[in-house]
Order: sequence, then C-alpha cells, then structure tokens
Amino acid sequence: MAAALQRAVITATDLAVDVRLNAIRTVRIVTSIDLVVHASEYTVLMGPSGTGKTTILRALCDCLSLSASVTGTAWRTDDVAVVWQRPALMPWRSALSNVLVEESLRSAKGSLADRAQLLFQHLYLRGIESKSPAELSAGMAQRVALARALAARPAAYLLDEPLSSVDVPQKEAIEIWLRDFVLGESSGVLHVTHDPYEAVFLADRIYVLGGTPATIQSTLTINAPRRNAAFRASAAFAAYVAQLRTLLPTP
Amino acid sequence: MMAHDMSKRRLLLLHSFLLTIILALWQATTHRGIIPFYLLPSPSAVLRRLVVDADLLLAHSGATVATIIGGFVLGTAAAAGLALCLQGNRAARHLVYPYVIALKSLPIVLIIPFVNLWIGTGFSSRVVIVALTSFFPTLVTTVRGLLHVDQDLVDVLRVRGATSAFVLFKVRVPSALPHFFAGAKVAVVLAVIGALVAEMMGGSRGLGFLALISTYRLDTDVLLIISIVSAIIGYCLFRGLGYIERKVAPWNWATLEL
Repeated sequence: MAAALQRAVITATDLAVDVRLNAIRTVRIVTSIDLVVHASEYTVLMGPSGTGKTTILRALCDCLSLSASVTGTAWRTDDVAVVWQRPALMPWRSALSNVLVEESLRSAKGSLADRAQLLFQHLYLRGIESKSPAELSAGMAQRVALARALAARPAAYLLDEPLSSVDVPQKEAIEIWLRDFVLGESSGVLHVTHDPYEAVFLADRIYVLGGTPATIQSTLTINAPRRNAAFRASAAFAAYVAQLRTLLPTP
Repeated sequence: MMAHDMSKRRLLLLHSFLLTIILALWQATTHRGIIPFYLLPSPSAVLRRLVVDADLLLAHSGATVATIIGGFVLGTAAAAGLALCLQGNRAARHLVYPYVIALKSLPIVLIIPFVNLWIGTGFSSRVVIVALTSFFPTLVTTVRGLLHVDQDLVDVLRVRGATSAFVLFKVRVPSALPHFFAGAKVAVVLAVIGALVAEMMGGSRGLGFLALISTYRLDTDVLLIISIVSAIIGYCLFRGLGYIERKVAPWNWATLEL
C-alpha cells in the first residue's frame, strides 16, 4: 500500500496504561499495544465497550487523568485534533463560533470561515450556525464537535466514536465524504468505534482490541480502492464485516 | 409564551390578594387597640409616618444603598480577584482558605469595632465592613466555578495548542460566571445586613443609624418602615443581579429561575 511510504503521524510501541485505584491497588487497563497510523491512512480501533479504546486515545494525546501512568511510547505529531465521545462544546458560543475556535489557537491560519462553511455543508449543519449548543440535538452537537476538529486541518485525528449519535442514513453519507476529505488532505486518522459496518467502511486497517488487560488481538486490512455506496452494497463489504465479527470477542 | 404570561399574571394576583389579607388583618387588630400601638403600629399609622418623614427616610435610605453597593462591589471584586489567583494553585488555596473561613466565622459585630478604630466611622469604613460581609460566598462559588470546567473541552483545546491563559480566560472564566452570580446573589443580601449593622455601630448616617435611634425612642413606626425598606432594597438588588446575569451569561439562564 502507498501508506507504507508515508511518514507515521501516530505510533504506540509496547504501550501500557496503569490506573492507580488507591494507595496500594493499581490496575493495568491496556498492555503491549503496538499500532501505527501513517499520513493519508485511516485506521480504526475496535473492541467491546470498556476495553480501553478511549484510554489508548487519551494516552496518545496526553489527556489521561492524574491517576493513570503510561509506560512504553505513545507518540503523535504535534499537529493533532481530537473528538471525544462527548461533544464538549463551549455553551456560550454559537455552533459556528465553536468551530472557529481554532482561529484563536493558531494565529497563522487566518480566517477559517470558508472552510467552516464547507464543513457545515458536508456535515448537514447548514442553518444551525448561530444556534447555541443547548439548542442542538445530540447528533448535531456531535457533528459540530467533528467540524471543530476538521476545521483545524491537522496532520492527524484522534476520533472517539465521533458519529455514534448520528442517524444511520446521515452517518453513511458522512462516512463517504469524511474518508475522502481527510485522506485528501494527507491526514492520518485513528478512529474508535464499536460498529463493525462503520469500521469496515472507513478503515484501511482495523485494530481489534480485547482481553483483560486489553491487547490488540488481531489486525484486519481492508483492501478496497473506492469507498462509496457501491462498496457498502458489495459482497466484499459483507465478507469483511463477517470476518471482522469473527475477530470480535463474544460477550 | 402565552401560558407563561398567564401564570405571571396569576402570581401577581395571588400576591396582591395575600398582601391585602395581611394588611387588612393587621389594620383590624391594631386600629381598635387590640394590639397596643407601641407593640405593633397600625399600617395606616406607618403609612402616615412614611409621608411625614419622607425626606429623612429617603436621605438615610440613599446613604445605605450607597454603602451596600460600594461595599458589595468592593467585596465581590476582591473575591473574584482572589479566586483567579487561587484557582491555579492548590497549595495556595489550602494556605489561604483557613484564614478566610476563620474571618467569615467571626460575627461581624466583633470585627466592626476594629474597623472603626483603624479607618474611623465614616463612609469608607462602612464600605469595608460591607465588603467583608459580602466577600465570602462569591469567593467560594467562584473558585469552585473556575475549577469545575468541562475537562474534555479543555483537553480538546490544549491538544490544539491552547495556552493556560487562553484556557483561563476563554474557558474557565465563562464557565465560572453562573457560579460567580450564585455567590454574588447570596452576598448581596448579606451586604444589606452588613450595611445596617455597620451603620448601627458607627457613624451618623443610614437606615441602621436611624434604626438605632428609633429603638432608643421605641419608635416602632420607623422601625417597621426601616425593616420593609431594607427588605425591598435586598429584593431589588437580588433581582438586579439576576438581570445582569441574564445579560452577561445568557446561555445559563434558560434552565434557571432565580
């Protein structure tokens, strides 16, 4: 794959995260994690709820709580943007103004108004620019949070279930656009989800997490040059989903 | 919207009804001498007194309102400033809080003689006393507000390179505003008490001073008027703060009433 020639934007090598419960008890959440995300590459991290997907994401961007300690290496480019499970918008700013917050963070970029307009269009957010976060539905707020990350045009994205509250038709349409959009700008993505359809559709490579403490139990490479409605309807897509399901731990 | 207006009108109606009953009962029991006038004056006597002594009452009320506002603004500004200093430093909070709590635990009547000794018994001394009484609630709630931020939001911004100054002024301060106003609303009512007590214990101006004189004279008419006026001042200042809050932090207002 072309991705192999690209530089890495996110790497984890023998990564483990321990969380201190109290003075004497420490529990290991994830262990021996090796993963890499190159520029222009879409990777998905999958696994059952509570396995530690979010913990890995937080370790990668230094956003773990104080009781957690990281061993091994968790490296990512400085130019990264995150989307958490919660939208975490500023309630005192309008939807558009939330997306434009990047303007005041890295001054060199100048106005992001045009880019924001484009993002609002593709994320089906037209017409809600001036609404406050309190007025938005969960799905809308989540798309605004995604737009905020995309507005930054970073070298890498860490996305934690960014489309979990979006309805299925809209989600499928956004997935088609999102993958082409971020890869077209040579960004690398680490996307956490527990939806196998979402994972197969978006990913170049899927890391499947499982066990206690969690490790990467298998890796699945998706070879499909074009990700569109036809791919979603294809036998290859169904086969990949079926294969991925056999790799997921049974509850 | 319609339903809201209706309920508001109904509330007003109920209020007038309740007040009329109270006043009628009061008038009935005091007018005929069932309760002697020196224990509880009748509403008509109070009203007559209000008209006769209007100038005097207005002058003293004005002095009190000035003291309250001056002291409240000073105390609240000091609380907000100290909160900003303490929010980033856990050790500083643990160092400062015991003294602040100790100071607030003292009855203000024990502090007033010292303030009067040090600064005198003029307007500025009363302002300091009101500032001392109204400083604590705002400090506690504002510190809490500055610390109680959406950590996910802070993380999103920090990952994008936000400085701690940016996080402080663009995230912590706006999220602390509702907490700040909650404290300030408690403080402004305390400021009314602080002002009256300060005026009772020093100086020759204000409703507190007037209350002291009237107590010596057993002038229950004026004492009652002072009580009602103080309550109205407290109510108006509380509502005024609510109005400012709605303008400054409207995103929080939708879910709250008082």
